[in-house]
Amino acid sequence: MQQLRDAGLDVFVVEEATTFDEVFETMTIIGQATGTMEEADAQISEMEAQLDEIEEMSAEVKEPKKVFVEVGSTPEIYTTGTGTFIDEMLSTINAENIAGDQEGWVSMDPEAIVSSNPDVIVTTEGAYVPNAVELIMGRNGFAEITAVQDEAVYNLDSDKLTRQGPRVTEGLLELARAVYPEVYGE
Amino acid sequence: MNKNLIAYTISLILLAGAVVLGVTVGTVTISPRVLWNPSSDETAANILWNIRMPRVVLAGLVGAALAIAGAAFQGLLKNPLADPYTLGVSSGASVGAVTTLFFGITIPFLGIFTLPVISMAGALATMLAVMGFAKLVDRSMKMETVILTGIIFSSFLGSVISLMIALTGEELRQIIGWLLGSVSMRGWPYVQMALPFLLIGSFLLWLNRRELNAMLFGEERAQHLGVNIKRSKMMILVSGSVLTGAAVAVSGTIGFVGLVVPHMVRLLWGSDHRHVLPLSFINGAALLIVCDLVSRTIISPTELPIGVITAFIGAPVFAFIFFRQRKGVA
Repeated sequence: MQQLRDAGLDVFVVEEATTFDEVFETMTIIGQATGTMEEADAQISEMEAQLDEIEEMSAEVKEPKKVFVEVGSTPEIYTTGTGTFIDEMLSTINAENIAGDQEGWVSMDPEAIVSSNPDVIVTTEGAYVPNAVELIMGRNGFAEITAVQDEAVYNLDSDKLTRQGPRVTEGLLELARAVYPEVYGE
Repeated sequence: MNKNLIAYTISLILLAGAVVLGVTVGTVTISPRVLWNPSSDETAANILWNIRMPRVVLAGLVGAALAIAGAAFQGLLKNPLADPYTLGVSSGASVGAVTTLFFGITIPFLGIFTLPVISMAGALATMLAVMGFAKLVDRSMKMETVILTGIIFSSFLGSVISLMIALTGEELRQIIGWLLGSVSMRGWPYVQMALPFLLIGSFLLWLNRRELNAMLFGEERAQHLGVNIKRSKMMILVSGSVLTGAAVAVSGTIGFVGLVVPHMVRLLWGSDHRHVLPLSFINGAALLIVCDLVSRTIISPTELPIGVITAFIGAPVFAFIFFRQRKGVA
């Protein structure tokens, strides 16, 4: 960074957003910094509308489902605890994150996943692992998990879930549809 | 005789204790009762039989294989520092395994046994190369020469693996996960994959227990004692490679087990190979089960690679043995 500054460039660091509000804030700042405030505002209000709609619909959820989000599988299984954007997304749609007692991006013992018995499993690894869903369903001991028995294991686009930009509400909708298809439609 | 009975009893109790601890302790605590009464807690039984048990069995098999192979290498080379890891044989097996994963090789008729078989071939080739080179350098095959040769081959093979990893695209994660050395989430298929070779290899070594004893007096004396040196030597090298290859194929490189266990066994119960081999087998299994237990609980819920634990114990033991040898206290 100092090298860039030394070269006479204006350097501006965007902090990692972990909530929707922070995403909007970041977008505003970037809009100001790049002189595209109008576009930023338009984009933000469109996203806010989407977000409100999704949030409202979550009131229809009768029983919150337990969800496990897998963001890495090799050599260890990684998931996201509190203070992460994915955790924020799960609470927005009224779902329970089974790693909610952990903080940040953490590895999770397969035994702990089996014993917390999630209703839905979401993987973001499909971009690297072609048969990510089948691998999870076939994992040792996973056959007893509700999500696997109901075939509620889904692969979602990791960019929309883990890159905090204009596409996060799109990612949120995909997540909502995977977890509560009865509320958000397939 | 009585002394041996005690040795076997203690070893078997240790192994049984390690197995029970291994299956009950973890992120989820499981009551040992689930072992004989699976219906008392079905989630626990599922975890026990599908996740923990295969892991414990695999750790036990790998530990047993590496320990008995180490015991045999030490006897054959009359070199207390020899073990599959220090001789570079593990690295040879790794190259075989990574090659199999890298090219996605499956040999017809072998099926799932392709991986262990190619690893064994890698192990044997490295073993022969290390021995050949060491002999060229120093006909008397001094301890340091053999170990140094092993290290040279290890580093070379290590860079071959790094090169292959750098060239892979998608399979990269699988290879790295395997390379770190772990018995986690391997499941029963891996147990099946390794078991036949471990049994055959251990049995072949056990057949040579008297020959190994005779070789302690030097090859010439052994020949006078009626040992077919060439045949025994070949059999021991091949079985040692089979054991190492199979162990590495299922768990990656886990160092120093073959060094620590036989040494402890000799220290406690003498150097008669008729007992060193089976006792190393049993205690090797117990040690690796415990190491695996430590590796997955010490910084739970994150896991430490098991090789870290074995090196933590193994490297000081290596230094100690070397020191003792050099000071001539042995």
